[in-house]
Amino acid sequence: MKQADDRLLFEAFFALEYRSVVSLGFVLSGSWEAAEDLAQDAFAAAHRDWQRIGCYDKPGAWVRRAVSNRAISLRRKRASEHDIARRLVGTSSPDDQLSPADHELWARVRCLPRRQAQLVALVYLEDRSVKEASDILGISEPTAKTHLQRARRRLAEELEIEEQSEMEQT
Amino acid sequence: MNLDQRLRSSAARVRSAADEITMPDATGLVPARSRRPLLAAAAALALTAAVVTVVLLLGAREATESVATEPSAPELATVPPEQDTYDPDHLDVVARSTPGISGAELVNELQRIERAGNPTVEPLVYAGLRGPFFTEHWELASGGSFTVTTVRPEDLDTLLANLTHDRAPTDLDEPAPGARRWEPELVGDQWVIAWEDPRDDIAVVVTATAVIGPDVVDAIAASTHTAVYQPRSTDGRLEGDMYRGVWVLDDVPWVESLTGPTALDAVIGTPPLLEVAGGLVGEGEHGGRRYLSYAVVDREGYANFSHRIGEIDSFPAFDATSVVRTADWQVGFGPLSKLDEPGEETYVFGIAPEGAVAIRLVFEDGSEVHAELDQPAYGVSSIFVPVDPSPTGYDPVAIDALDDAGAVLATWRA
Repeated sequence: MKQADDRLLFEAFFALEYRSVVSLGFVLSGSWEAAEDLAQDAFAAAHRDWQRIGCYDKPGAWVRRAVSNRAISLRRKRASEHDIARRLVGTSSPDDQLSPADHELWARVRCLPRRQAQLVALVYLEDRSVKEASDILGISEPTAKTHLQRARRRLAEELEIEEQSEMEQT
Repeated sequence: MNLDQRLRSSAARVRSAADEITMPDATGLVPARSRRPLLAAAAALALTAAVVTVVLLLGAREATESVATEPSAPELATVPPEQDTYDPDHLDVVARSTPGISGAELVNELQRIERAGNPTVEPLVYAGLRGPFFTEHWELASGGSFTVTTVRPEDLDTLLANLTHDRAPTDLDEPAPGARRWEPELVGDQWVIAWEDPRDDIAVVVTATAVIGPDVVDAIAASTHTAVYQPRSTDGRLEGDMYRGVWVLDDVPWVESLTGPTALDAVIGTPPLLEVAGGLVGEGEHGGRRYLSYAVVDREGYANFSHRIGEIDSFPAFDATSVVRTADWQVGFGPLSKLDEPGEETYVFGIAPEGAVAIRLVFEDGSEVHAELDQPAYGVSSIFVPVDPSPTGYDPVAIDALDDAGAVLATWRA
């Protein structure tokens, strides 16, 4: 019975979190296909150890941390394979909904140092507080704030737009 | 529109785009037995379309045999095809192994896993369509992983035609007897060697990710930047299901880590402590782009931790010459490298002792910087610390590893 319950819980967890985790993988990897791979790898790992991870207060944080840690290092490696795949098949992808400016923006995010990119993704894409993002990444909140401030400053400079941090105003 | 507004509006579009993603069935992620129908469908697809099977072998070997035999790349191609057929009951896969494990051994391992029906063993991590490819990713019980990708013949030709060209390895070009061979290709970080099996409609592509052995590691570690081991793969090592190895190419030790879910857990959770006994940093140009890589050698002589620092283009202020300090590393702790971004931060990689949760950098002017370790359980630091520019640069004169209570566990001195 417990096994069946665990399965149902995992499936519910998966259904609730999958697309959001793929989105996180996308902005950090630059590829929807790689993002799906990252998400599936992370969920597979969570499933494998679900008895432990399922007991966490926030198993979604575990999966996001996993994806965040792997996304950037895998980005270039996977992109080459999947870019070929996309050229071959010529199908539409979720990218079609994104403008060139969107792609440029997230590409610049990915060029940030790893922590900075992860924090931008978690805070803006997932609309999380700095505290929540720092918990997911397992770093202190002050450290996260520092990284985020630097990320914002650099992005604003590169994009030549006003920084206007809402967080700094609060 | 300010930065916040632009980020938030674009993020909303990304979330909206994600809604278009087809949700896979959660049950298709892991339990191999429940995926039987999926595999059967894949097999039918493969057979009825007279597919070409492409095996992207990302690495597989037994942990205990990493030293015994010096792997030779030609082994890849000289395993008789008849030894390599894996045909449990649903899929005909021609498997070729990386050096160190024969195709037959790989097949045996797969069959053993398949037969065992052990619920704790989940060899097939996922299967699904990726563009024109049907991909299955396997994690072997003995560690390592590989991906089997099936494509139509016409797609294979196009795929091979689109591969990124670079210099071909000289010792990986022997096809199976009677086989048609494509020129070795470099795709991303991996050499791809493809050949067509003499049997009908079967082609094999092996992506050979590097492996490294103690003897070669010793030689590399003893050398400076002049790698004499031009492109070759060397023996490797498994840690859990994390497989590490090195290519030496154009004086650059290309370090690869293959990770599976268990390794991912280890990175996040409770991995082994790495002890550093030496290392190497190399810089080079690859595919027209410049990279910097390093390998670390542990006390047993294995390349035990690896990281490709990145494309130098991404770090315009990067000073490669400041990175190399292999000669004065202390065992167990020391800076590996750093990337300087003047006026902003220093990027430091390090391996700290077990129990360390933070490091303290001490600079020549006496200033100190404290930073938390990214992955304290792993003993690995990849951190950003603020350092003001100084005439002496960014090199710390000392690095201390600190535990929870701030006690110094280890110290490195320049």
